[in-house]
Amino acid sequence: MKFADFILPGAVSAELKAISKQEVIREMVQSLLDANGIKKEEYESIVKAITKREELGSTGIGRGIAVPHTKHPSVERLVGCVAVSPEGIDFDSLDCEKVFLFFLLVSPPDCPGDHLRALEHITRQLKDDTFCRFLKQSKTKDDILSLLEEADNNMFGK
Amino acid sequence: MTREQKLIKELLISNRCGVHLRVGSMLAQKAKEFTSEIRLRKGSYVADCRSVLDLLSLGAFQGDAVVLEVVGADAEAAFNAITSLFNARFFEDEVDQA
Repeated sequence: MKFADFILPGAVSAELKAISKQEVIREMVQSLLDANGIKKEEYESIVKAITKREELGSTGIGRGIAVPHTKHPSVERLVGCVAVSPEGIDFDSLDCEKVFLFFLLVSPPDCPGDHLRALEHITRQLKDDTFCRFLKQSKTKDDILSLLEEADNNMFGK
Repeated sequence: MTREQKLIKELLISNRCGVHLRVGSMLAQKAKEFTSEIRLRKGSYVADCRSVLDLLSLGAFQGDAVVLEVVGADAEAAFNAITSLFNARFFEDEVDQA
């Protein structure tokens, strides 16, 4: 699986405005809505589901990365968005550090394989220090999209 | 002087959702209770069991075989603790699959 298979190009932000965990979730789900990745009437339900998942344990996995996610019956395929917070946000991460890079995923309930393949792809790329550093330094949406494309072309994570 | 042990075993991923984030967190949290080096290997990918990022990057799906390698003074206890989580299928049936 590649980023292009699940990241909606219209749902990518280099300047997350949110300053709290809840605001991050709302802003990112809004970006999925703006990119026509989810239905308007499902917005609150998806925010609630992701928040509930966070209550089970933070998806802030360390190294400044978080992958908030949920399964939701309203989506027919895995959809995701990316956001960078230049200042970093307290996301209750496992390593107690601020989070700068967010990948938010919403997947259909009966597709655990796609969800796992997306996590595998995201984390394999993020293990590459160069990719991680460049992503954190991204100033524009186009910067991020270029990096994701380069990653999909096997230029990182090897 | 404490004697260092090395234990290796192939384990099967039997839970439906594989090593997803909650399972990765559970494994990492357990691994941090021990001083031994704990690694999971799938093909050419090797994960430090203390790192959720590493564990997720394995891409370990239901039905996949992974090799658990534990080296250190408390290897036996660590080995038993990690294999217990596998045997319990990471309690997937008891928790809302997330």
